[in-house]
Amino acid sequence: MRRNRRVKKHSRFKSGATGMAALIVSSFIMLMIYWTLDSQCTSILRDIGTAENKLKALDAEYGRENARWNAMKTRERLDEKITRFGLAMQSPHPDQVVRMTAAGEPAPGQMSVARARARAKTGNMALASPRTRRQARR
Amino acid sequence: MTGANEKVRFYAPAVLLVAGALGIGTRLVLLHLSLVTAHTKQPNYGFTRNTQGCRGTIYCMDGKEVLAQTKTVWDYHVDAQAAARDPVNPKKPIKPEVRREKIRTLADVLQIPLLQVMDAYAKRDPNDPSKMARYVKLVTSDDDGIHAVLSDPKRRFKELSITERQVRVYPQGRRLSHVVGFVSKDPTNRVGGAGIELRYEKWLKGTPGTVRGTRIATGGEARVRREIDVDARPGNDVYLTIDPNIQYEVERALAAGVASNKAERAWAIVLSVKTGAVLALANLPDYDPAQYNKSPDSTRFNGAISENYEPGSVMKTITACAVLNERIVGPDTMISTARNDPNYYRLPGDGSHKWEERMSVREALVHSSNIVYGKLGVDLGPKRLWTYMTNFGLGRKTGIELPGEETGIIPNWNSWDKVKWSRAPIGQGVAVTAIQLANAYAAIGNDGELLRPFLVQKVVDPDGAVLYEHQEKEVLGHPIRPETARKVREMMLGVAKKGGTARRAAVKGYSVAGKTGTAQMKEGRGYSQTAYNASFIGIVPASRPEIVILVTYQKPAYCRSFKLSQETGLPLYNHQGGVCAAPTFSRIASAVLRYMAVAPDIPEEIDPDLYEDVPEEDNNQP
Repeated sequence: MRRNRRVKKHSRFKSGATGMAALIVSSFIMLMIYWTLDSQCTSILRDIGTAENKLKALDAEYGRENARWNAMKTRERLDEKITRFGLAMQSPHPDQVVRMTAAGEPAPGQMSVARARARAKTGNMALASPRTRRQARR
Repeated sequence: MTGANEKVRFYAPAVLLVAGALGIGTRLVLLHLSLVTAHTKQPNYGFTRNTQGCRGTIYCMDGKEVLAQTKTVWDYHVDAQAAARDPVNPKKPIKPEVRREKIRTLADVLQIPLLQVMDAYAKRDPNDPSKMARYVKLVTSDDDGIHAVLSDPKRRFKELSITERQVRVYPQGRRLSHVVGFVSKDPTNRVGGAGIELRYEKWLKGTPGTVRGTRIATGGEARVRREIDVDARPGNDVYLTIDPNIQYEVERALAAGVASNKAERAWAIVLSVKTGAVLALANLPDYDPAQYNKSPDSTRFNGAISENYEPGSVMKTITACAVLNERIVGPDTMISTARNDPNYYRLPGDGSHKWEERMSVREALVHSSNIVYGKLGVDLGPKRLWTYMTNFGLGRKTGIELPGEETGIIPNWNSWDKVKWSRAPIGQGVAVTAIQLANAYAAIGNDGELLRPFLVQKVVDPDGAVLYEHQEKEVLGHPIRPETARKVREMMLGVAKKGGTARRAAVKGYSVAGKTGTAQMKEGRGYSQTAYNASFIGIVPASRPEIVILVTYQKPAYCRSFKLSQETGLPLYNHQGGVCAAPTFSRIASAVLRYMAVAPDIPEEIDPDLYEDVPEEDNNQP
C-alpha cells in the first residue's frame, strides 16, 4: 500500500567532511607537536645558556681562589708564620752529622761517630766535642 | 536548507582554516630554513659579543710558585643621580633617612669607609655641577660574597652598577719584578710592557672569542639562530728556570747588603754551571709590577742584563785563562811588580799596595795586582786578548730571554791604543754586562765549555701540551781547554783564603774559586774617585762546580780610610768588592748549597774536632 511517506531528500552535496576534518585535525596535531618540540628546544637552549654562564662564573671563581692561595703561600708569609709559631729549624750540630760514603758506610775518621758510640756506652759527656759540652752546660 | 548554503557554511571556514594553516606552515618552513632574514638586518635584533681570552700564567721552576696570573674582579660604581631619587617613586627625591641607611649598608657590605660612600653619593658631574654625577667608582673587589649580595636581582641598590673585568696579579709582589715584568694598564692595549710579559707576549696572550646571534622580541637570545660561536681560549703558560727558594735567599741577602753598604743599586745572578739555567736573578731597587706606573722609571731598570759597566779586576780571571791557555806563563811563573818597566808603556798602578819585587801569576790573581796583569795582557797582545774576551761571550748578547739586554762594549782590538793594551786585561776601558760575566765564569767552572744561559724552561698550552721546551744545554764554544779551566780555578781558591782579597767570601765546608772587582765608574771623560762598582764572582764548589754566583753593588758608600773591625781586623765600611760583595756571596752560597744538598768538599772545615785520628775499627763497627 502506498503511503504518503515523507522521503527525506538527501542533498546531492558530498562535502567530504571526513577527509577535511581529518586534514584539519592532523594539522592541529602537527602544530601541537611542533609547539611542544619547540618549547623543549627553547628550554634546553636556555639551560645551555645558564650552564655556560655558570661555568664561566665558576672558572672566574677558581681563578680568584687560586690567586688568593698563591698570595698566601709566598716565602715572606711562610717565613712570618714559621717565625711566629716557632717552627724555624736550624742546621744540625756537627755531632749530629754522620757523613756516609757511596758504599753506605760512615766516612772514616769521623769523631762524631766514635764519640756518639762511646757516649752511648758510657754516658760520659767528656767524650763529647767541646761545642756539645758547652751547649750541655748552658 | 539548500545545498548552496551548506556549501558556503562548510567551505568558508574550511578554506580559512586551511589557508591559515598553510600560511603558518609556510612561515615555519621558511624560518627553519633561514630563508627569511629580513628581521635580523634590523640592528636591534642582531648582536655581536667579543669575549677576551684569559692571559697565560707565569710559573717558577717546575710550577712551584706562580709569578703572574689573571683573575676577574668587579668594579662597583654608583649612579649618584639615580641615588638621589626615591627607589619606589623615582619622581620624588629620596628620604634622608633612607639614604643614610643605604650608605651605611653599602659601606658595611663593601667594607670601605663610610665617608667614601657618602662622597660618591654626593658627587656632582664635573661637566655640569648642577647635576649629580652618573658614574662614580666606589671600589674594586674580588670578594664573591660581596658580589653575591650586591648582584642579587632583588637588591635594593638599583643605583649600583657592577662591571666585571680581568686584572693581572703578581702573588710574589716585588720579587722577580725585573724578570716577570708587567702588563700595561691601558684598557685598550693590554700588552706586556717589560720582562717575560713583554718578551713572551704572543705566547701569553689569550685568543678572543666571538658570539654573533639574534635576539627575540622579549630581549633574550634565539640560541638556535646563533651564527658564530667561538669560545675564548686562555693564553699559554710559561715556566721559568728560576728556583723560588734560591731567589728568595738572593733577594734577602742583596737587600741586607744594600742597606749595610748604602749602595745605590745592586744585582745578583745565580747560574747553573752544568746547564746554563738561571736559578736566580735579582735587582735592587725593585718595583711592584701591579703598580708599575707609580714607581720611578729607574726602578724598572734591569741592571743585571742592561747595565754596561767596566768590570774591573774580575776581568783578570779571563786574562789568566788566556795566558795559561796560550802557555805564555804558568801559574807559578814569577813576574816583576815594578811599574816603571821600560818594556811596558804606562802600566796601571796598584794603589797603595806594596808588593814584593816579584810575584807569581797565581799570587797576582789572589792579591789582584794591576801591574802584573797589565804586563801579562801586553805580553799576550791585544788581538789574542780580544779574541779570548769575545770567545768567552763578552761584548755579545747572551740571548737570554729578556728584553733590553745590552751587548757590552769590547772595541775591536785594532782600535786599542797602547794604554788600553794594559788596561783591558784588568777590566778598564771595556764594558760588559753582569750576565755575560757570570756566563764566562760558568764556562771556567764547566771545564772550558761555554753554554747559553736561559731563563725559560718550557711553554705549555691550556690543554697541557708542551709547545716549547729548552733542550738540555746549548754549547756556544770552548774558549779554553779543560786543564786550563782547572788550573785557573785552583788559582782562584786563594782569593777567599787568608791573604786573598775576599776572605769574607769563604763558605764553611766548601771551596770557593772567586774573584773580586772594584771598578771606578765613568764620570765625564775620566773616572770618579768615589763611585765604584764593587763585585764578587765565585764558582762553588771549586772542586766540582755546581753554581756561579755574581754579586755587584753600584756606588756603595765610599770610604777612603779603612775603618777596621776590632774583632776581625777587617775593614768595616769600604767600597771594595771584597768587603761589600764578598759577604753577600758567602751568605747566598752557604744557603743555596745547603738547599741544593751539595755535599761539602772540605767537610773538616765545618768542625775540626770532627776529624781527628780515630782508630778505624771504631767507625767500622756496626
